Amino acid sequence: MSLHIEHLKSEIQKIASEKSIYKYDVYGSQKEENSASAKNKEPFSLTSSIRAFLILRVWNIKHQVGVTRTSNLTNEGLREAFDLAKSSSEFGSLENIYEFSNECQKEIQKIENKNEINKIATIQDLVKEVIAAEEKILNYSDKFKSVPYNKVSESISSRFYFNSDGAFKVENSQMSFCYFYPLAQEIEKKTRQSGQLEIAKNFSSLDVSGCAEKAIVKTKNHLDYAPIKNGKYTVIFSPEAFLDLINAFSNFMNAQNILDKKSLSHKESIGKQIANPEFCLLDSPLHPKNISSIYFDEEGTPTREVTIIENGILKSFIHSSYTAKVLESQLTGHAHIGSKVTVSPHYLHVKSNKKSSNTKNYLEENNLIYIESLSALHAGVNELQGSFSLPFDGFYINENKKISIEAATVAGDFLALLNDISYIHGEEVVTPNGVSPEIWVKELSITGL
Amino acid sequence: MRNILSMENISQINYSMQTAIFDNSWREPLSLLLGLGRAAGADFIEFFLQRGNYVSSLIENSKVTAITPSLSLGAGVRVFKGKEDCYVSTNDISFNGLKVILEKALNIHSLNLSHNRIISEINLEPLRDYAEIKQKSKWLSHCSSVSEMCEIILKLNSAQQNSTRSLQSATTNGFRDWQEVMVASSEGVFAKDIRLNQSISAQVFCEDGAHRTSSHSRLGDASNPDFFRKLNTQEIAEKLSETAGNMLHADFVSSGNYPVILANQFGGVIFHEACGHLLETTAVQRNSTPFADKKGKMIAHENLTAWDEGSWENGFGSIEMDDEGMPAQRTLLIENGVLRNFLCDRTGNLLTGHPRTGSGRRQNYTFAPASRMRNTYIAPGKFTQEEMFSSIDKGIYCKKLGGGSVGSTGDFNFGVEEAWLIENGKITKPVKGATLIGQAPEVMQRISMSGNDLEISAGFCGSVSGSIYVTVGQPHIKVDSITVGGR
Repeated sequence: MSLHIEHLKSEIQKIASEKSIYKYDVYGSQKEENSASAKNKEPFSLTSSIRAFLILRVWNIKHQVGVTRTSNLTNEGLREAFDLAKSSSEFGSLENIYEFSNECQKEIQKIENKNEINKIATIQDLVKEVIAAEEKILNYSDKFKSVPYNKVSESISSRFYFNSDGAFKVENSQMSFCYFYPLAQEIEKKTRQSGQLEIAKNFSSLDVSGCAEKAIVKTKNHLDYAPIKNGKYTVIFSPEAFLDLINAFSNFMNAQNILDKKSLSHKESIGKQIANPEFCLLDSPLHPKNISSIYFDEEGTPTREVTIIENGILKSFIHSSYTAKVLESQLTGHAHIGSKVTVSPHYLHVKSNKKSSNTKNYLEENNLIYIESLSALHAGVNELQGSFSLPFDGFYINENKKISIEAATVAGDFLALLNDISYIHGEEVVTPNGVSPEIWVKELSITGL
Repeated sequence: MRNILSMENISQINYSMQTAIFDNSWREPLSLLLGLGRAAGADFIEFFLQRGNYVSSLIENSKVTAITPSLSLGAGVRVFKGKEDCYVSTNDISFNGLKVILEKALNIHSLNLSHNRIISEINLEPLRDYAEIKQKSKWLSHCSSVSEMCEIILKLNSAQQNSTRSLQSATTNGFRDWQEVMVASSEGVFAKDIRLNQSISAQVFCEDGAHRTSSHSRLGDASNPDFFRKLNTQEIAEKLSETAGNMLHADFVSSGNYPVILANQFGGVIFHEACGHLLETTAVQRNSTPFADKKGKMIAHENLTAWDEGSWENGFGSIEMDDEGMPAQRTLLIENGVLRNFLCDRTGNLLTGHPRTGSGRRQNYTFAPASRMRNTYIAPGKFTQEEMFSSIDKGIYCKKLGGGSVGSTGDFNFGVEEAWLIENGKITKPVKGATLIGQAPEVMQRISMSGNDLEISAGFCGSVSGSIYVTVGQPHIKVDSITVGGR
């Protein structure tokens, strides 16, 4: 990649000194990415990019912080960024003083082999695979009309953090992903769509063909469908669906949202029972199966595993260095720097505290809804109210039959849902978003089209 | 001026274009690069250059909690070989940086810069400078300073706090997004523009025991440096608090099928999501719209006519030219229920044959352009609100819609921020938790009444070419039956 981080660091040091700025820090990243799609067995939407950005924070003599984000990394652009950050520091808070993280100088414990970077796949390599996979789907059956959303991509990137006190961290990573969402139709039935996303450490270990096969199976399962009667049902969330839901309501664990009074929790919520007593939730950025694991957050704080809910009891929030100081908690490594430092989870891990030997099979139960995937989370979640009303792809389970549901929404209250969990399956599934078993919830409202 | 070069000369050329402004100094390097691409065998090459200066101010409960300036600079090149295209982007807009991305794009098509070729520069049109025509060069300096912006946003935040009961938090956010863009293509296009989008949004979150609600409002404008100075902060705050007050203790709506009246302004998001996206040639190309073969056919109720305006004065989605350098146009989408036009960009034209409409848009240089909406609205009809409400015995009035989305199969959904029951032609009590779900082709046939009170609203639209500014709008409309998800 084109950006030399050591050089950038010394250039920034020089400009800071010329401009008499004695305290600053920088978080940034550069990324090279190639991607390709296919349309009717031809290459489509081929893209490549080499881009970088950084976020610069400067402290003025009153300890107010000013920030600028820039993708203009020329000397001229960096100077402009310093000037803007300095002038915006005049609006920085005098009460909520940000400081460097206490752990920004701390060494990071690296996972073995994680940072091995291979040469990035060429577009031609990607094209070959994506066309073969699209072809496999289209040739599977004439019910499969097209694959409007498909992509194979690989990227290599470097994240970096440094500050005027000498902290300096760089992390290189590589990731590859693919997805296929075919449209298929039975005669005299509606067009149906489902699909599959796969993620891998690099392109050579990405199973593109396997992803296409899973997309075929998932879509095929929805070709024959029936409407669902409105009412209250016991609902089983797939691991992917449950993780989507919990991420959408992550303000309940977010310390900055709590300080802003924009959370379903309060600072006194720690120690309270908020979920079924078997339910446990961790944030586990360094989980060995997490392809997109990161070692440090944007303040340079090392990331780590954090227990958020244990035995249904809220144990910890996720923090930036500022929220940890205000709420007198340990650092957790979840910060995103900016004029206001924000917080978000990395890789959630849902599990039961029981090792159940008799795992339930939902196919043996009656009158259940199985939610395979949720959609439109940006529109159907009211994270401040705690309510949701979301369209989903799923099945009605009854008398040993699994029937695709034509179209429906599931509605409820997130906090009530945590308490209404009736069963946590014993088998944990690794997904791109986290790890979770299937979660059974009683009495959720289902509305069919 | 050189017109013919050999490849050997290229490495000796050292162009020094103005990096602080996109002007005529870019003509020579861009025409040479375009010529290089053509000589290598590409059918069409297009450079897009962009510089951005953005600042946002966040005020929470009377305190300035974030001032976030952001500077951006970058370029992208799109290269077509036959109907196949590729897009490569970079932060490095030096001559060499642009040459690197051109070479990379050519390589994707298995083309390369051969050393013994003769290069003919592309004859670019005289710079079509929309910034100069409309005197936009002073826009940035005429905008509210960060300090003035903060003062106005603080005033709104304070009004939100004073007028809202059971308030937990009041958040107000404003931004100014200034962009300078330049497009040069091997067909001779050479054009630049300056764009200015400003917006303010306010949100209140209220809690009373177990009852919680939030309400949100946004105003936006393109091309008016005085936008913040002209805001009526008191009026914005009062409307917001009224919605929050109405909804805080509301019961959850019972799910079912109802006749629905959708209010004007942001109610237009239903047309944007449920129909507008399906009329973009991006969807036709992907075979992901049920309307692909319906041009000239009835796709909606005969009472429905809809437009997409490219350049409305102050419309949040207005542009003078699109991101392919084509002047924006006024596009008739549906006329009395009949599909008249798709929104089309260059790729769409090439792959579907529909005429281009000046709709090639993107968030910034990191995205290739795609056919996207601008200011989209349902035209006013003849009905009064009274006539529409009196036609319903039991239904739902969606006074304020939230966001929504539509999938490839035409299934859509929308959250409703403020909803009321209609009983015997009258609005009776507020209900919360409503979601509208349905199938676009079916719902378009059920819009049986359009009111005479068209109003528009600013919004954001996320799709294949990133997040862009748009306007949605409509008069009050009646949908005969729609599924309402609730508890």
